[in-house]
Amino acid sequence: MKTSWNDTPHIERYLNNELSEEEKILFEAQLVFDRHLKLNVRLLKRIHSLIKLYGRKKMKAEIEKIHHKLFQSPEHLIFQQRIQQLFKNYD
Amino acid sequence: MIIEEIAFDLKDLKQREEAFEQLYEEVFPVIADIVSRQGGSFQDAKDIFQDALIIFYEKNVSGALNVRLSEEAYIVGIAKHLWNKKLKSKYKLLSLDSFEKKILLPEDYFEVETSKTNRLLHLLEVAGKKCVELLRSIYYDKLSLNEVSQIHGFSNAHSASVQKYKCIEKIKVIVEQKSLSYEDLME
Repeated sequence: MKTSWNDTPHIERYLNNELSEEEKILFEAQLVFDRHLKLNVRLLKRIHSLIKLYGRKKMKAEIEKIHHKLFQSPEHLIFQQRIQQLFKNYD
Repeated sequence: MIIEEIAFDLKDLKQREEAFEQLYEEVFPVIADIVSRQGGSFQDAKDIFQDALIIFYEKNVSGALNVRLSEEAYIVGIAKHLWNKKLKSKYKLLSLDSFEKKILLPEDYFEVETSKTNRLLHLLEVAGKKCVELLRSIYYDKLSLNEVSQIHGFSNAHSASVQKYKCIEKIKVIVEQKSLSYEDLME
């Protein structure tokens, strides 16, 4: 029983809100006195947020590459001038 | 055009690049126009547009685009929210239409990362790049285990799943070791 509570897939289902009402109540009751389970939940949450941060950084880099292409390459000159003009008007 | 009609599969890197470039050409000028009229700089427009695109992507892959707006209008809507959030003066707030008002920004988007978090992330990238990439596909890009198998070269969804949990265990050990103290995680 104890191992199943600490099962990563089970914790993930809890974090993703995929447990049934009953399972959720049982899980949260277990959380109150099971420090090991509590630690595992914290760790998994931390991993989720670290991976999200990583994903956002990678996505930012992908988009920055497109920005660079659009604002550096001569084939997009008209686009560049159009944008420049916008900021000139309000200087 | 309604949101269900998105022509590109944003989960596919190649298609995403094309889609993002197209959106950049179409939507960035709109954002730049709004931001410049409000007295913002080119850098402001760039930051806001790029954040809006990231938030749009996240909503797209998690199936959370529940407002009936075209993708262009959706990104403009997110950008307006971002600009209003950034504004110190309440006089110049952009007005939002009823569809735009329904757009919610992810709450955790504005958390400032501590240097500790950045160091930890860097360490994970060095110590377990493959695992970090695998978990990114699963958690961030929301790929199915079948899609994950194809991209990361597993024979099937089952082996991808097995590897996923191995990776979680591996990363867990690093995160636990590098957390300042047990209390740090338990509070």
